[in-house]
Amino acid sequence: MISSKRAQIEVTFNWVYVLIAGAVILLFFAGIVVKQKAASEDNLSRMAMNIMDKIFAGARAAEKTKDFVDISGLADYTFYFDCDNEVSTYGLKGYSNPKEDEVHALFAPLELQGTRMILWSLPYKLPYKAMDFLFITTDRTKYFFVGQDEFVEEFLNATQDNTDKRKSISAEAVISLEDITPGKTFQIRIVDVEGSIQNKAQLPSSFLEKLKGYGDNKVTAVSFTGTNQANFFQKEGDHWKQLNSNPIQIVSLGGERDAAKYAAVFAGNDKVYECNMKKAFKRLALVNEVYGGGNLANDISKPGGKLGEIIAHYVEYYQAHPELQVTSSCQSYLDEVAKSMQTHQQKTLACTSLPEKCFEVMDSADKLKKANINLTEGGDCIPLY
Amino acid sequence: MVLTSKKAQMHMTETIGVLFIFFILVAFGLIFYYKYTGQAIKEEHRQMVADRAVKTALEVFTLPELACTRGDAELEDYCVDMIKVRHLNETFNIHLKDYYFKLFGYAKIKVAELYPNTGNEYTLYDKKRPTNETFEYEASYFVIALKDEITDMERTPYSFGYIEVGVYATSLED
Repeated sequence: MISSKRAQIEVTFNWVYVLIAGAVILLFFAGIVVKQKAASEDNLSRMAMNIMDKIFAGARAAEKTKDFVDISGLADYTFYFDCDNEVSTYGLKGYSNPKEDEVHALFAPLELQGTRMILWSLPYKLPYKAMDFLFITTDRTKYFFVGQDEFVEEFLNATQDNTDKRKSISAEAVISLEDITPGKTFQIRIVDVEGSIQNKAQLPSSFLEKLKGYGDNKVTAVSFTGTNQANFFQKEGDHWKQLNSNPIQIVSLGGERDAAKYAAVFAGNDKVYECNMKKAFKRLALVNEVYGGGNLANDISKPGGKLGEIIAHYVEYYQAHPELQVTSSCQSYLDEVAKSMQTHQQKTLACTSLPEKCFEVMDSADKLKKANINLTEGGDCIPLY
Repeated sequence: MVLTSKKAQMHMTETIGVLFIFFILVAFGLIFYYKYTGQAIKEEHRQMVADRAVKTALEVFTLPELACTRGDAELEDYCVDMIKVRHLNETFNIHLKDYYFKLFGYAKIKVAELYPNTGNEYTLYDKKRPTNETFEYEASYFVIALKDEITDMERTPYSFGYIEVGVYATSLED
């Protein structure tokens, strides 16, 4: 009888023991699964961003070419891009390990989703190349151009491949907002080349009807005015909301493939645009130093860098061949270049600290460009660039 | 009584034996895992260094501070402007901390002429890792054209050389 009772206790104890041990083992494995899931997601985000970083570097190097990167494996993920205090940040939304870039200019919508990422690099010249701008978009972001001018034609020619639609940026020219059909896109960007979009302007009802299902932040616009300025807008309910308080100057020398203007088309908003442009101006000041020396902005009497060496070369050359000095005008052309270079560096430095001064860089860059043309065409001298 | 004790002793020895083999297997597993992880980390590190070397090289080839220009036309590919090269070191040094270190990190960029003159070398950028760290150096060499419009106006301004782009990486070797 005693033995049976003892056996009963032992059996119960064994079951309790087995249950506790089983629960502990189960919890242990559940913990491993949870930790592993978090670690693999973290790893995915880190790996994806490292690969993106490499792809961006390659795309920047392949100037003026468009790269189409298959991201169908990440089609359900949202990429985000931001720029603050001259630091670009990009990553996968909801995941850690974003990448930061303090040097390169990346112009992209604030969020991106799609199966193909499109990367396009254009050199930003003022008047010589300061850096490469990288434009980032996807196949599910559509650009609608409202109005007609040379820029629209140029953009569409540059981005449409009639032989292979997969190698095109999704873009279309329309007459008005009513003609827009978004299709199966993640977001739309309206590029108004006539400056017709105004702050708080009501959106046409037929257009609003087609935008059902799009969040306000998925419908954005950039509007170019006649004075080469840009305003950024976002849909807010049934009207446009202007994002920038003052018009943003497009600082460029114009012409084909105007990188600063293209950048405005691809930039998510005014903040991203200005933040990346600041990086470009900072780099321009450094490139100016290579051309004109570190002290050029303060002292024109002793240009350094490439210009200083060219001037020194001609001084030496004319000392050895004084008879040529009468017929050649290289020195006077070089003086003109030195003056333009000094003004250009002063304006660039002013622009890096006071963005409202940046429009002055266009004038100084134009003068430097003309002075450089005079060097080669007028004087048959060694050009600055 | 003696029989029971002997049986218990045998049981005990058997249990100890099983436990011993179990712990030996666990130890083997741990050693294998440790070695595998170490190898994987080294492999990943090697990959990272190689990636950084490629990225730095790409960066160097698109440097407006270095490239040969043709007015408003596109830059000349794989060409280095020697007049700029002679002054670039100064700009890189002045703005090392505030700019160029963010671009190149711990790296070295050197331009050397091979033909017609040999021996002309310019180290444009050389930022080693802190001295208390052991590091390795992985360099890549690229053949380039060197354009110098000043040295000899009678001859072509182009000569032939190479650019060395290397990265300093923390060493994981013992």
